[in-house]
Amino acid sequence: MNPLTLIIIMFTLFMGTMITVFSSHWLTMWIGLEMNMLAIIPILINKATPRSTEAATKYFLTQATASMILMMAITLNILDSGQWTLINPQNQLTPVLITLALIIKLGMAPFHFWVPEVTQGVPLKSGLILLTWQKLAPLSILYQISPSINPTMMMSVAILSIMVGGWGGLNQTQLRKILAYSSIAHMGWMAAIITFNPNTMVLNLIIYILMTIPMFMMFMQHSSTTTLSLSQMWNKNPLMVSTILITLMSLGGLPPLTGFIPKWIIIQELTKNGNIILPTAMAMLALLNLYFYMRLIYSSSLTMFPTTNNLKMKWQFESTKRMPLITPLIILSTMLLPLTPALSVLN
Amino acid sequence: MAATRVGVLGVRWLQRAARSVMPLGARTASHITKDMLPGPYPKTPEERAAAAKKYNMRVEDYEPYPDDGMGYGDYPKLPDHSQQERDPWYDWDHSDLRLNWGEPLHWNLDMFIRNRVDTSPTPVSWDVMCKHLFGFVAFMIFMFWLGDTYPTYQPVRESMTWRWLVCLCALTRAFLPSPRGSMPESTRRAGLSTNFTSGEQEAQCGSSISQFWAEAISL
Amino acid sequence: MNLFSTSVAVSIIILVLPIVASFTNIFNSPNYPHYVKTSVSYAFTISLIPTLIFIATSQEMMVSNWHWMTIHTLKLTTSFKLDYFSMLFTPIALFVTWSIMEFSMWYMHSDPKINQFFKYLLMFLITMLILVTANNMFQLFIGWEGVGIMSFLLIGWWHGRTDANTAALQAILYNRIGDIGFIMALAWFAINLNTWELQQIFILDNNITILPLMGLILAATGKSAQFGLHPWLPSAMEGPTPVSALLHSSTMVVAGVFLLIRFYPLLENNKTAQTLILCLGAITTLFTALCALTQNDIKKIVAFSTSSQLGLMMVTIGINQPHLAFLHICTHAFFKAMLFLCSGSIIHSLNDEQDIRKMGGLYKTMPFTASALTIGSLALTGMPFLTGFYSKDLIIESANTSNTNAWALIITLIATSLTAVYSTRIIFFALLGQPRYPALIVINENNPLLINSIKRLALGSIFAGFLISNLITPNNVPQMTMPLYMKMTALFVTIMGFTIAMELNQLSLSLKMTTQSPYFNFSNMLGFFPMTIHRILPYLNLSASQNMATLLLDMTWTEKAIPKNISDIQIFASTSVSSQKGLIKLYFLSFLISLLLVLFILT
Repeated sequence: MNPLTLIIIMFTLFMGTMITVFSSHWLTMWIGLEMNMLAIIPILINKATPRSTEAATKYFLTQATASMILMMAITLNILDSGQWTLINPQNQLTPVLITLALIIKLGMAPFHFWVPEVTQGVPLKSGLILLTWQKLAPLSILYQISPSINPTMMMSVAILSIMVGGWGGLNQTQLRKILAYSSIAHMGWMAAIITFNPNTMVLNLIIYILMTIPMFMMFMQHSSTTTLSLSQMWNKNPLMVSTILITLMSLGGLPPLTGFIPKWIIIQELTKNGNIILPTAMAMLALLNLYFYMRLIYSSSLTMFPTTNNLKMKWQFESTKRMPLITPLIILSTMLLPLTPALSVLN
Repeated sequence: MAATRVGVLGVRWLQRAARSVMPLGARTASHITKDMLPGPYPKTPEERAAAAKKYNMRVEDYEPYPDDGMGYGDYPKLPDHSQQERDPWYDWDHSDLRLNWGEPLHWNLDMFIRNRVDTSPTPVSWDVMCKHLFGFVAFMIFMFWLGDTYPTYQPVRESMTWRWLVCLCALTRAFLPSPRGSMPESTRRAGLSTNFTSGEQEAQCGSSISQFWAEAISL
Repeated sequence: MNLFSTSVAVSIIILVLPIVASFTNIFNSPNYPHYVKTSVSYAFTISLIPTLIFIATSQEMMVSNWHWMTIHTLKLTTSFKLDYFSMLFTPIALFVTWSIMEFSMWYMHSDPKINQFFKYLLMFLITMLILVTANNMFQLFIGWEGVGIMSFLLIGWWHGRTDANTAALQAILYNRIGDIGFIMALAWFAINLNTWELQQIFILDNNITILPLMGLILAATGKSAQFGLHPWLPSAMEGPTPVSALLHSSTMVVAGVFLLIRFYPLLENNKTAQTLILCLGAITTLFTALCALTQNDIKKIVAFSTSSQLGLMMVTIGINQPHLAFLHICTHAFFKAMLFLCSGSIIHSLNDEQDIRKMGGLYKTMPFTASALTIGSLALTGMPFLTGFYSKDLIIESANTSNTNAWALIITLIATSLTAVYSTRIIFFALLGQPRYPALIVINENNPLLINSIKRLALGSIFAGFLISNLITPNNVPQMTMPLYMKMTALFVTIMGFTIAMELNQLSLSLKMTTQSPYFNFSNMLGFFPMTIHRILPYLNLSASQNMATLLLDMTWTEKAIPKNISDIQIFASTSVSSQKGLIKLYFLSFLISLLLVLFILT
């Protein structure tokens, strides 16, 4: 891609999200979302293969639909209240429509179908942006209207997303699809807490992004998109195999790692609100996620599959991709648990 | 100097650790795969042939467990013979279990290993042995029951023929100095409260000589 | 000063000294067996002092000096009961063991681990003495288990042989079955009477339920090899001959009978328990005597005769004559030890040949052993005025004159007669007739270790019965009057046995059996008992476990209920969730339906 174009597109992408986050006017907020969506299309379509074009098309269609629904909700809100300011809507319909539009944008169940397909269709770098940066803008709106969200609906969406994220991922061998389902599940966890404690949702988002970025970066380092190619990574970079192991564990939310923080705090918060059955179900469904992460771990680092490659030494050239951020990100994504006491400010 | 030494040792340790983390030989996933587990019960001759081949058997030897829902599937029903019966002098691949590699195992092999159930042939047939032993025990129990129903008791004064000898014996015992020391309390109690020794005879022993004489004459 | 407790303590210390010494360099010395033997002989001499005091003054004593621990209200003390039973048994056990050890120095002289062997023998003896002198059930149990474990070590002494290992395991396993009974009795006493002290148990309850008594009977059945748990006893002949001698005379097997004698104040009031003991003893004495008839291994015959005598002792307890049973234990120790030592002497001289068919004519080559063997056999059969007579005759008389189970009495008499038969068989085949052993065998019996030990026991076999029955206070009232035929019963059946056996043996020299008689098979194959029971029980148990635990539970129910079920549910859910075809039209249709549904429900 032309560097100039790239700069413009990236800048638009960045600015779109920023406009949404910083505005308190519904129209600018909507404009930010639109800019963001239009800017990501060229990024998704980067390689211009039929597969990525299809993915970009699907993404565009769903996002446009969601924007239209959002626009309709905004219009209804103006008709109702007579102003564009982002205050909590007073009627029933508007917040439900806004929430649904944002849920479509975030790709939560039952509007999740596009997420794995779009992620699978685009390059890893685009997938990384799709699954992390693109979540910021809709979630910031959700954060701001959180008092008026219907808790029952949000909870149903949450538990549904966690289920879909768990079961969908069980059946996959493609790394990007697995990460897409993992994203759905994490979105479910965020949805579960948003009506009780929006700050915890933000924390979960941050940690989710922290954990997803190094995963993608490690896959990008070796251009691996399947379990099979992952299972031969021991031959190229043994150390990274064990890093994948620990990062996946963290993603699954195993205690001594960073990924445990949001799960811990969310379950605690829900329990404090007298909600027992839901967190139990969520914790148990999280085992499904852990299960397919463990399967990745198993095939990448715990066993050696029979292969035609009979050379046990490192035989490829060093990767020329430079990723200086990967080390601090891995550290952040695994070792943040001791910082948990600092999170008491969340309340 | 010490620092160098520590450094060298550290590097060696690191090498060893790396070696142990990342062994140089390839490992294979050595699990039982699904096609090695018992499959469904073979119905057609072809399936039987396939199953026999799977278990390393000839088709004529292969006989699956009856398909009665016990979950044996196509596992071959081998004769109930213990490993103890097998030739101890043959060069088995696994001499302790007396098994060869690839040999089909009995479903209950755990039960028939050499220090468990033994089925080796005996000089006398199994049925005869069981019949004799349990017949003997049953007969004994029956007779004990009979004997308990009709207990023996030999009254002393049955016959007058040997009366003089009895008197003589009794006299000898009576005139002998009585053993020193009194009987312990518990012992006397034991003697008196006994069920089986007849109380009648024991009552006599403590009696004085004159009483005894009187009794003997009166007989 | 009262020498009673002091001399008991001294003799115990003398016994323990070689064990202590075995931790020092003395253990490596070739003289260690000699030390052990001498210690035992000194201990015997010193233990005579309290016994003589007891005989003279009927003094009994209980030493209770170390409070061990208190568990809730259950107090455990180390206490010794120096009463009639322990005071008479201790010197006898020491005397017999002394002779056996002296014999072992000759028999085991080429064994590389002879020192350890002697240490084991001594520990065997010490545990037996702990058992005999224990005043509470806990201490008794220590002795009980100690005897069991030492017998395991000693029977498996030649552990290079599979048979020896199997026999040792068999012994310890059968004893474990008995221990279940003992522990059950322990638990019952602890729960219901809250004491393990013997006196307190006897004082607290004389009419206790059958349950603890059944436990004790089971314990005695296991330890004393009564019918049902007897197969280990003949198998134990795989051990060295001195071990067999010690095991069968003064330790181990009499422990079970001794336990019942100890608890006779409880048994004497319980008719059911007595009937049970009587029947058990009677069937044991007959069954083992039958098995002894056709054995060809000289040690097996003697072992079965022990088993038969143990059955006789149980019969005696069953007719409520525990003191008589104890007397039989004491007299039996002498001649049974001697019989084993004589067979050991023969076996050693014939180059480890145990089959009586390959002996013969030994009265010429081994006159001393032959005469000792004859004395022992006669004493065993109850030849008048030998040791066995004084107890066996009394037992038969008591049984005869009791109001008792007719069948038990009959088979006891039959078994008494059979005693004579198999004893004759040993004498006839081993000692008389023509030699049937290989010519080039160096037979000698001139070693003083051999001669002296057997000689002492031979003297014991002749005089011990007379001495014991004359010296001690009779605790039971002997039978004063009875018809002559009853008085002569024991003698008569024995003589009948002798006669029949002589005739049959003469006959068998010229008679060749063409077909196998089923009775012969029954007797020769130990009544088919080990073969059938050792197969049936594991088969039933293991196949039941295989079917119930493995097949039904592990492989079916627990497998299907949770793991397979969960996995099926997950597979179904996973496939139905992720089976998308990439058709955006359908996705939007589902979006529309979801949207409408949500709006319909929520607004």
